[in-house]
Amino acid sequence: MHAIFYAYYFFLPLLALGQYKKIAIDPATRSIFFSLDSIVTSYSDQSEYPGFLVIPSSRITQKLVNPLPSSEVGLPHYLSFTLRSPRPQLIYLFFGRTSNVRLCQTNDDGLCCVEVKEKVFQQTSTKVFTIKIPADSSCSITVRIQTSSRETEIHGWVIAEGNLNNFFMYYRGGGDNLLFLHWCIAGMLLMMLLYIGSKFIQIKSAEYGYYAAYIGFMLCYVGFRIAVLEDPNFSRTVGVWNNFFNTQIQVLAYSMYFPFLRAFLNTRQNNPSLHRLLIILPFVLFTYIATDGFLILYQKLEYHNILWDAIRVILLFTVLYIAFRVLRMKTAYGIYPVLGGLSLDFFALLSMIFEFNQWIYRLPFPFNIDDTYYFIGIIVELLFFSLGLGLKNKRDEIEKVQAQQALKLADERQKFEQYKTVIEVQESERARIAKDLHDGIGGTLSGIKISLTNLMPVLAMGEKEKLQYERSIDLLNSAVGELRIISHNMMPASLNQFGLVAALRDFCDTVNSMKTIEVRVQSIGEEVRQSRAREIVLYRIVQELINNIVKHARASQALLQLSFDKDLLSVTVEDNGLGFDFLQMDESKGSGWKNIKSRMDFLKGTLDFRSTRTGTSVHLQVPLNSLP
Amino acid sequence: MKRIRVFIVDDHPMVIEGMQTMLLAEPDIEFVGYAMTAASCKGFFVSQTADVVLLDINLPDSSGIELCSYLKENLLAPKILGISNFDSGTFISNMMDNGADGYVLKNVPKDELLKAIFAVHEGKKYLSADVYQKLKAENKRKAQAPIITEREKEVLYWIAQGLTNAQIAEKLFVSVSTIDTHRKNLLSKLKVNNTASLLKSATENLLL
Repeated sequence: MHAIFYAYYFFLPLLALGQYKKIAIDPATRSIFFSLDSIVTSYSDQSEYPGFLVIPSSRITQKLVNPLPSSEVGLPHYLSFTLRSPRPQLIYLFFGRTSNVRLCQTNDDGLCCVEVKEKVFQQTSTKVFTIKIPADSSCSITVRIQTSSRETEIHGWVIAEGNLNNFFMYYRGGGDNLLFLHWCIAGMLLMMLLYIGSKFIQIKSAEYGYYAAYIGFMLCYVGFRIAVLEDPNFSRTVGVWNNFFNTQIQVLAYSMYFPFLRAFLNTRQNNPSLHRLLIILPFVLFTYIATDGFLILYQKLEYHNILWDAIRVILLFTVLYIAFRVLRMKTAYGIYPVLGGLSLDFFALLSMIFEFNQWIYRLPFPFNIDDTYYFIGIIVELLFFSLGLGLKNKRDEIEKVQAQQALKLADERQKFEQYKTVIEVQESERARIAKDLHDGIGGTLSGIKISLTNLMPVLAMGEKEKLQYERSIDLLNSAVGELRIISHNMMPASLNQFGLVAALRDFCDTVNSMKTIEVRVQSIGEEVRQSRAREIVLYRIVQELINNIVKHARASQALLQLSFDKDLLSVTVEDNGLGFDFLQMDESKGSGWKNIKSRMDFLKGTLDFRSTRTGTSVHLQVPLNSLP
Repeated sequence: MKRIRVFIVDDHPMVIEGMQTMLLAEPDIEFVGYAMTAASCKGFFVSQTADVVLLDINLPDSSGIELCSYLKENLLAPKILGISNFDSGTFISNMMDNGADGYVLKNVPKDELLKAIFAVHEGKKYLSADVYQKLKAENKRKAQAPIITEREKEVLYWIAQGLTNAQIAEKLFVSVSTIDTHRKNLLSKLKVNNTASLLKSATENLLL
């Protein structure tokens, strides 16, 4: 008997490439049906069971696809299978590790006879049923299995003359857990799909689209699995295409990983060779999908299985390779999708290992092992993808906002500089004109007057001539006076030398001299000199305000107050006139207010305006700094 | 009687010419020279002297006011008579503060100019009528009590109601710093140091 077990262990690695054939429970009769392919015999030498040599043939492992719900635990289940043989032989059925297996029925013709023995192999009890099959007939066996535990594993071997067919089943109590897990995953994937989908619609960025497709296909896969779990008929209807959908939906999902990477890393610009690879890979996978379709169509399940294993291994290494390439690139957050891919790789690998190890080590798990690890892998992967996307987009957003701000700042600065230039040009022109007027013409007129005055005693003039002469002198005087006023309006002479307060005082003196209004000027706090541009702009604002009062307000008194306080200058202009309608002022009275507004913008100050029928109060606040 | 030695500093040639003619006609006045820039004026005064200088405020290379104080620092300081087209009160008071003995406008009639020269030479101060008015107004202004603006009155009212700066700011839709400024101005105008004295003084002055 040891030979069998040696053989068993010998073939274990090969078993690793074995595949599962899914079987279903008929709930009505609690029967499990499966069939073994025809058994090939060959020769063996001495053993207690003469006549067979263990040679591997088709190794089919059966697995219950529908684990027992808890209500079913403890109830007997019937395992039926048919054995066919071209020639008479003895078949040995081993059921390991259970004492609850009882052979209860064979087919009616009674040709097969069964002998039951109990054997102990390696401290586990195993029931052996020996079935004698006469020539060229088939034997239908029903085995009753009953267990009270929620987790029971039943291993069976059918050995017929050197042929080892094994089947493996385990019952799992609480089958709901697996379904529940599937529904949870599906729910989670759906929510993610909706979220990513909406982001894609909003941002219209390719990486979101591919990510959404990835999630979508995964969702289809989980949905498919749920359908299979929930409804046995579904599985039966789909039939052999089960294999196709089970595997190829996943492949579709994986094929989305590469364009996702492409978009995320922007490989078109950053890494053209990787970009090419990432374009080609999905097409390779599509080719595989098509090939697999054909294989399933022509029922070449073995090739399907081989190819599926091969593709999984290839994908594993491809993802590793791509990870390596990407990590060599300098990317922003490129590590995250790579980590996602690698983690799915890792968990898939784990699940594959556990798939094959589980019946050596008999490790109990509450769930279907490969699914669990796989789902964990998916969750971790999606977490990494989402994290990567989130971080990348945040950075993009920040960059965008920064760029916008920089642009705005540059724009504002440019506008400021422009305005400043305009002001400077304007004011320097005015200063020039003022100087020309004042010094040039003013000086000349004064000079003329002095000369004429010198002449007077010398000239002999009659009364009429004298009158004319004096009138001319008067005209000269008033010309000089007017010139002075014009020049002063153009450019206040005292501004540069004595500052804003002095200049405004002089201005108000001039206004007062017209005797239509009395303007009081008061200043609080020590005057802080500013740049020439700022002072002249402030002067112009106040000039405009007071001119407005003189022109329109019909006020008898006005107050101008300048208050210097640390880094703030407050200017108040009040009058007791009729008041303004601010909005009207803006439109109808020309560009006066517009000028004031743009000047205030230039100074980065605020203006507060209040007007009633008994008077107006305008309050300006301007920051004081040495920068223009 | 010794003749009054008069020097003219002005950057306008027509003015110099006119004044020169005027002065040359006077027997009591000796015209000793002229300069068109502050520098050349200083140059003259290195080796020479004058009794009265007719000084224009507006000189190309420095302000007349500076030159005025410069000349006054001299041991044999001449009397300075400021002449200018500017009738700005600020200029006038600044000239006077810097040591000028008189101030006339350039379009002054001849006899007034002579009167001015004689007056300052005797040590008196001379201001032409309108200049004098300006200066008087300026001094009067310095003596006046400051007016409280409308905004300040408003802030005072709310302070009396017991509101904090922040509350007042919210009420009047302005920033706290504005209210702060108004408050400071009030304290300064009423010459008090704290809110309690402010309210007391305000009540006494019938502002509340």
